Amino acid sequence: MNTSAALPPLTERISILRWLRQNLFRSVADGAVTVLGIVLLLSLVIPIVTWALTEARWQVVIENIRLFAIGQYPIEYVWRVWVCVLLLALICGVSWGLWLFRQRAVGAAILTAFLLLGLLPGALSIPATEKVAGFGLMLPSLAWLVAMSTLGALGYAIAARAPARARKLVGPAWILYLPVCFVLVAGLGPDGLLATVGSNLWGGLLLTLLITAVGIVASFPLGVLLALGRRSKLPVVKAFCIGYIELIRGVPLITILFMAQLILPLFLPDRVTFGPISFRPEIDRVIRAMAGVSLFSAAYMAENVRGGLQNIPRGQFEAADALGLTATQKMTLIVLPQALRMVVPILVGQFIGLFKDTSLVTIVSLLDLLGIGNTVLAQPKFIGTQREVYLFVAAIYWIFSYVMGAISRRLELPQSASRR
Amino acid sequence: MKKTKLGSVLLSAVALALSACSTAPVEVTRVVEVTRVVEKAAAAPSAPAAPAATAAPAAPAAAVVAASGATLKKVTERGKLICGVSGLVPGFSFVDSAGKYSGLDVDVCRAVAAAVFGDGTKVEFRNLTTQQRFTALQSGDIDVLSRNTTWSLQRDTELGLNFAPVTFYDGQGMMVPKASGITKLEDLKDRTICVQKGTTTELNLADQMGVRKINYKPLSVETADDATAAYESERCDAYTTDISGLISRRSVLKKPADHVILDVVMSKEPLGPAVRHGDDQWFDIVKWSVFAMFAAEEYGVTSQNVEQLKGSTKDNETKRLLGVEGDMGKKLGLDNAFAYNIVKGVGNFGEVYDRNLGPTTPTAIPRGINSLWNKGGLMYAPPIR
Amino acid sequence: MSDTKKTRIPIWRDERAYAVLAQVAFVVVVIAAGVFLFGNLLSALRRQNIPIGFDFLPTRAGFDISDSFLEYTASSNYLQAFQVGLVNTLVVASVGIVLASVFGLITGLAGLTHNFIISRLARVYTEIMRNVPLLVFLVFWYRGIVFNLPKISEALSIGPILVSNRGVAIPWLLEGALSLPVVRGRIFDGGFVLSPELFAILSGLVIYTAAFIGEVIRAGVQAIPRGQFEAARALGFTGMQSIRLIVLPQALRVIIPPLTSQYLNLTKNSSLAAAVGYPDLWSISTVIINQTGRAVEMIAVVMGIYLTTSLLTSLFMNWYNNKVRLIER
Repeated sequence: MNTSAALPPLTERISILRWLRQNLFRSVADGAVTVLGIVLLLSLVIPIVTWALTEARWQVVIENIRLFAIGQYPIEYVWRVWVCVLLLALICGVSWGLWLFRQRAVGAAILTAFLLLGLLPGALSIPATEKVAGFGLMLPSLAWLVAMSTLGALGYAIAARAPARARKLVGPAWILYLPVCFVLVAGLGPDGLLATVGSNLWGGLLLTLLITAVGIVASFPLGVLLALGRRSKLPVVKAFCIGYIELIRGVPLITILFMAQLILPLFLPDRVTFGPISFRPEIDRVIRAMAGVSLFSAAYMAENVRGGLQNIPRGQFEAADALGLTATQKMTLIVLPQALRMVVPILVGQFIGLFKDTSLVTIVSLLDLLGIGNTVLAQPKFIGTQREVYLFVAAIYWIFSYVMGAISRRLELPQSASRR
Repeated sequence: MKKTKLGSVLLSAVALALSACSTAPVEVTRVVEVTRVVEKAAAAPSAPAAPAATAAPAAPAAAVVAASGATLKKVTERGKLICGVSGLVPGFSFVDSAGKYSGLDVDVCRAVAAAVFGDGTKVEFRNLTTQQRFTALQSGDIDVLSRNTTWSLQRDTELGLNFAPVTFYDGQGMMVPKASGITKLEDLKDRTICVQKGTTTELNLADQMGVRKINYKPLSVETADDATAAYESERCDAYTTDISGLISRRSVLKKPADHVILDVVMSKEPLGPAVRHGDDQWFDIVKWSVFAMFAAEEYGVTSQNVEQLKGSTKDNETKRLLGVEGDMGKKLGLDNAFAYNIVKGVGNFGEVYDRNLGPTTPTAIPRGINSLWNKGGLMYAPPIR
Repeated sequence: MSDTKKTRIPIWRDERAYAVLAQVAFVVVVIAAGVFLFGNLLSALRRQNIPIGFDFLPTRAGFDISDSFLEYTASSNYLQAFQVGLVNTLVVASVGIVLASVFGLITGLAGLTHNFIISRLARVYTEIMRNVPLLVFLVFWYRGIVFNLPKISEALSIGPILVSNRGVAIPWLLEGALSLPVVRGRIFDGGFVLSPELFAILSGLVIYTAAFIGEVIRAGVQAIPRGQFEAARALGFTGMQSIRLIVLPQALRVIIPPLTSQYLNLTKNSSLAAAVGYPDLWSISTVIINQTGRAVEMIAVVMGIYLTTSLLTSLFMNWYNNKVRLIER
């Protein structure tokens, strides 16, 4: 009965037969189930592998890899996207060095993610056709990997030697990272190195990741505010927050995206005039999608944060009151840090959900990873390659979600001041 | 120690902020001010409007703006045209592996951009599904809809659209596998027919089969790709859409020769670009951008010879078209060289057609009724004068 | 601070007054914003001569619907079309919830067995599904798999169930007798035929949601101390009995809240049916929008319906949760 008690002695561990009996053939019924399971497994795996290796036309993915990666983003500015990824490698290295140097599993997960990213330019430079060769501006895979690991290692090396105080810089670095990347991708001026690249040209995985990142960053504070508002003593604020949360959680995301994409402009005036300032309230449609996803996610975020808030012992509130802290101090210094720490795994789950939900922007005709998949399927040359395209898209989503989940499961949060 | 200090600073800041708007009257004026500003903003464009009866007193009389000119202003301020296309129909609008848009509908958008900006690349394409296209146009999210859309009375009125000249005369057809032995619509009794959702084709199918009292099963799918895939996998027995669509779709089937397009034209499907009601100037611009392409083909002006013709032509019509004589562009609120820019940057209608649907393309469709009027077709530009 | 309360506080220094004032200001701003936005909407619609209202509902729809549980033809009106969509959504959601619960329970328990192969299979299945977006899975499932099922002439028979790309036919009670489906020409005869689209959305939602429900159940059962199970065994219950009578009732308490949100997710996710061509509420509403141009009205109604359904489901599950709790005490 008690299988998980203690590891058997070495001699028994070697015995494969014994393992088989323990785990697969404990009784006749058990054995039958095992055999059934194996048959099921083989009947699924064999045809799939055979198809993938012989029949499948993976050429559709190889020839269109650039579309999948960055959509119609102009070739001459692709380096800006790669700078973002390199910066990410650096920041990850630094964070690893400062925060997580004992957690090899997390390091391994991050490393895997970067290796996969590194393989992308490799795949991109496969000279399948002349068209793809135009993508040669990218670093070849090997140089790319070297650059990334150098930067990561550099960050790690610096961080490992840095004084403990340097930890305080990691948070701001992460907070700065997103706007910097956004500027890099979107551009600043009409021309030059950082010429503007319109959001209609962002696409593929790039767009998916951008919407995700903005969604996470925007929905988190909004969710915390809504959670606090729901506990507010002011009836109007409370009613508004409850109303918002329940409304948003009660309708499908697609209705909200549809509203944001197609109906919102109807509600905006033709021109807004505030004295001397006059402008047309045209909101970029990628921004609208980001807002839609964020507003949607915030309602769920609020409920998760509320779960954390409810689990804070009353004593904490009373102690804060006894110390004479104001309501704001009590919240920001005592309650929220504990509440958020409690729900970190749930929040990461929520972030993964948001990442997956961004695929719905396809339905309102944005060309994210899935949307690009659909346009690729319209190419006369690749009619009938639905399985290849969608499997590839699914695999990309899978890798990102899985790595995010794996990191969050392994992550031991850095001990905070309160625990030291 | 440090934290308390920070806290007290924060506190005093909050206190300051509170005291700034402390007394009740100040608060109230602020609110009033906001509402006033808001009303002003909404009412501002209503000045030249007819005094229409407003439904709700709450709705500021912004209402009936004779918004003529508003769209052109909006487009020029923005610096680019936003054009709604399908993006999934090779030959009409489509994204290739290099991420470039091409197609007849796409080139119409480019022509309008060339007319407005003198640069056919200043256009942003927006992929729209059949279900989203009209809402996107109504809401002002796009400036022009060029998405193989059929011109019909209801769309012209109830949906608030204005159709510019037809750029492709189509008709609804029916494709079946040769081996099925189906030769007329009556043979489709109890069969499944694939059709794209939200199209006039879908409505026609119901009408045509209803009149003939033929019982059939529709399979309404979201995209033309789905319809093709469903048809190819024999999920349905026939596939109906515009004949041009059937021709281009048949060419990508595994064995094109195994499929026939029935010799029935189930409806008229005039396809053309559309704009929303309420801005006549913009409607004129789109209309004459298309007419300019027709006229250029008629007068033999091509993207190759337009430069040279501009200097040398003796023909008065051509002179007016290219802006050498008269103020044709000015009347539209554009540059006089608008047609020159279209032909230079995009080409005349014949060039556009050949580039996208000509015999050398994978989506070849014989020109037929889409030739110029003097070559037995229906394409006809009113005089430019 | 508190001693000042004994004297009368002037109104401009009373915190409570500020609270009331701030709230009034908030309400005013919200209402003003609402009026402003709505005014813009009305003026934009009037500018384009687009009417507003629901007068279009009783006019002829003119389009056919492939899947319907109600009487519907092209000459039915928009209201009837809408009802067809509503019923379709309700059918998919309710049947989906039942099936997903069954498969979820199987998955959850499979993940808990000591049998290596079975528990690994359950884990792999769960991990695949949980990390892929539903929409991606649905389009793959529909366009990649369901379209490529065998042709009807070569229909696959799994027991009495026939599977082809023309749909899935299952035995069904017709006129009091069990009717087994057979292939006749190019159609199924007898039984109940699920169109490929209904099959795709139903099976897609069930396969996807069952992975999540399985995870909920696994976590719920693992939350019950092992001692409970062992005590049951010691009292002479069989393995199945101990799970059914001792562990599951206790686990339900942990399971029901997350299970509720999975049910709600499934209901809301059924709005992705349009991606597999199934005419659900959302899909039909977009067609109506396309025909009539009444986007605002339709969206408002659809959101209202989803909201009502979600709130009702939550209410029911809360009631059930309380019931389970009472029994447990």
